[in-house]
Amino acid sequence: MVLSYISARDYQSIVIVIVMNILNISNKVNENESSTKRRLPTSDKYFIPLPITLSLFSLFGFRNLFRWIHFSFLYQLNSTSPSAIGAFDSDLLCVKVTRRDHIDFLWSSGFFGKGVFSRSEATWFARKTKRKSRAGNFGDSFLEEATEKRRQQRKMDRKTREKLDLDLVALPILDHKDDPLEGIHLDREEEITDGPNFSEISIKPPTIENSNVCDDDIDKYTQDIEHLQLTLEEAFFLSYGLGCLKIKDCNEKLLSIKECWNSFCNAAANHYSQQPTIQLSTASRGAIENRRENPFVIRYVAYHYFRSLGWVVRCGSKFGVDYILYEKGPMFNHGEYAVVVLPVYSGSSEDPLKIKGKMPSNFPLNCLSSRPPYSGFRQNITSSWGWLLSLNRVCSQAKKTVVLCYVIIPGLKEYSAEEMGTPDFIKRFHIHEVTLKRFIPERNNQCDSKIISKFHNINKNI
Amino acid sequence: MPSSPGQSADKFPSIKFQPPSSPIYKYENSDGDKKKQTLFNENEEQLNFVGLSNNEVHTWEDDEPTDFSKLLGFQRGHHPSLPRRGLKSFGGPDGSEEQIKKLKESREALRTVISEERKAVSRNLCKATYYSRPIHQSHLTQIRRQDFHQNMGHNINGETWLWPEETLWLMERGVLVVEFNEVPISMQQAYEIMLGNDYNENDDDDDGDNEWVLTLEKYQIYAYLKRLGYTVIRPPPKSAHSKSDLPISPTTSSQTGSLLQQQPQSSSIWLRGIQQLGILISPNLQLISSWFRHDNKLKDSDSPSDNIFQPLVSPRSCSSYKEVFKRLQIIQRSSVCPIYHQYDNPDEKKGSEYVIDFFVYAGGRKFKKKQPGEPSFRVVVTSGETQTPPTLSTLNAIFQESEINTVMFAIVKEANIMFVSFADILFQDLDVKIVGDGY
Repeated sequence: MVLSYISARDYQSIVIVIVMNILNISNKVNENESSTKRRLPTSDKYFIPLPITLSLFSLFGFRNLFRWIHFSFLYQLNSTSPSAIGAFDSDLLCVKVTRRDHIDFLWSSGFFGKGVFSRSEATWFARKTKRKSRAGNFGDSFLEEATEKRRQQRKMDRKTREKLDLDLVALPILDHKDDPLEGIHLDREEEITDGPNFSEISIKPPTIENSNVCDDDIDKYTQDIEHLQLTLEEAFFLSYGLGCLKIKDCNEKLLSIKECWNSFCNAAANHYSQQPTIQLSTASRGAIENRRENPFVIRYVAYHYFRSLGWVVRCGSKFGVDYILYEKGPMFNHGEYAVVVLPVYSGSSEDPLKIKGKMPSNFPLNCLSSRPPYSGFRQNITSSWGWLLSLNRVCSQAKKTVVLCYVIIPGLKEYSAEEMGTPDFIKRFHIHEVTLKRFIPERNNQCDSKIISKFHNINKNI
Repeated sequence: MPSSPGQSADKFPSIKFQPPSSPIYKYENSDGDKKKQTLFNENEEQLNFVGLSNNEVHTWEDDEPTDFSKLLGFQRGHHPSLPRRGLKSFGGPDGSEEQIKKLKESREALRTVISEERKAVSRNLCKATYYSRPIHQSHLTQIRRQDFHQNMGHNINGETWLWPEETLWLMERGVLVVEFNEVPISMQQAYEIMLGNDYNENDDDDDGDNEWVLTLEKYQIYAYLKRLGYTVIRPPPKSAHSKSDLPISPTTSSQTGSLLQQQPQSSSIWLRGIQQLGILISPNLQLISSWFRHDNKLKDSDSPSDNIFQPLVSPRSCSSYKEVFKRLQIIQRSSVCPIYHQYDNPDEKKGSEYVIDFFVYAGGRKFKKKQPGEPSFRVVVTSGETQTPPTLSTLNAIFQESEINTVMFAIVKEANIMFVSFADILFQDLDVKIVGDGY
């Protein structure tokens, strides 16, 4: 590093920062990226963890000139249009964002939302125009194309295998063996664009089946009609946690944070009580109306908790869980943790709420069901070993650790009625996480407690 | 399981051994009488007692059921060869002649291996007398030289007594003959007597819920782990339990932990100086920067009233993303331990009665009966059919009582055994990488 002269004035120190960054630009300091096998191009595009602008004085921290420039551009952008705007749809339980710049902003800083015509990132229009121009492979290809190619490759491999009628030596590893991120059977998590090996695919050009639009209609759509869909948790986090999303209801009226909270809670409660398979007693219906057991509240508590610790939290229904946690984002690594949200009561002795109807008079008051009754599939997971083990098996096939995230519901005495109507209610909840891992005693090398703790990533600092 | 005469439980090579293809015995110290024999695999990596090199760790693969035709080599008169791990070659049931033939052979092998007669040499045989209620232990009457004395059996008034699971195990091994009511008993009788169904009927114990009862599942786990070479004991009584040197369970801390702890790795003093300057200045300049937020505020609130909620973090209010994350951490990790004493839901009752059943020690030779030390892992045995996964309160109770943060549950369903470990993990303590160098 060349040392430059430094002066006391801030103005000159900024110049010096720029000079150092220019010199530093070849030295991509982020060791996280350099440790991966391949230099992912994504680290340049995604370097902002949350869609919120920092104050001016954060600029001292940027070492990379490119990021500094990009960031200051964003700063400018944000000062003119303060935040993204989303429309709340209470029937679909989602918030829609339509402006292209907002969509990009929300996706590229924290991976929020999902494009409705795409697998995750809202790339429908780009894919459509690319197909139209048929200019071949340029730049980075899209997730959907990689999937299509992979499926075709598997089909061809299966056909050749049947023809030769070979005895299978192992489970069919049909994917590109040298690609370390590919899965073995079934579609593993495919949210990573690591660049498919085009040289190995020489079958036929990709077909257009995976889009809602067929060949003739392409000319009909000359503009991007895809919008970004945010779940209620994501939308609320953006507006309450970060203040960078404004939400309107169906009448185009801007909702305040408190109004958002109430509408989201009510929409979730309505949606839930309409499920035919859920039998709710009057007591628990009251509890849901009381927000204590509201499904939105419980899931939001878990979402907020993990987001605030730095994880990128995405939907986990592919694996039968609530959330998948990514370290930097789905573009960087496969998710490491699969989170199941399990609500439990705190068991405080003053809780007079009785769930299961009448109890004998000598039954102590603190003996309550530890699980809220509406938990649904989550109740299955903790009510039978078979369910828990199958969930563990599914997630470990995809190399994810199951995390049972217990959300501990506060007792009735621990909060006031007004607090329930405000988002501050979430502070009353507590979280207790427990990880689950299959253990094979035959294969463990000197299994002492230290190794087992490492097995679970406990106390990494020690 | 065929047992060779005179061999103690510890020395018997486990069938489930995953040995290398060609083990090489090497002699290490060449000093005179002490020849250390160590096992190496073809890559010259040193193997431990379960036959794995240091590079092989637990992987995500599943294990396959035992192929009994490989065990034919262990019968008397056959030359034993170590079983090799085969490749998976099953493409699905296709009704072919070849497949039917293979299945038939496999079943025959199973029958042959199991029906082999067990013999025991009477020279080193031990004898014991079993007493059922209320003691449930067997008294060793004839003691001979056996290796099991090293890690089994306990001393009461100068006499050695064995727990029922130890008794059963040694009977299976062929080193112990047991008398009950002055009559030697067979294996079937021993199982019937020692596996308790009628334990609690007439017993008048005060700590009824803490009583350790040997069930079939517990014996299965005991035998399974012993076969793999572990030392398995019952948890010692609480008073004898010494303070562990593990770190205290993280459930006691409820503070929001450290996140994004990496210091910015700067490569130059000047740069660091400028960063420090920025960090020092920025809190004070929050006041100044609040002037710039003036227009933001107007948009957010119409009138200053209590009902208007501000977001936790507003744009341009923090100087680093670390700070943003810190401000968002308003939900605490629980230090509350919900403990329920009675349940009205029968499902939950099944999930709440867990206590630690076994302490398991790896490392074979190093086990000392008087001072076992900290176990490698603790096991709770559960039946996959009749019991349910533990509730949070049970798990918490287990963690806090023994001041540990991980426990194994051994799930037994008929003949299948599966181990699952539950760990109390503090996500706050995990280092999470975030994009952009943490800024």
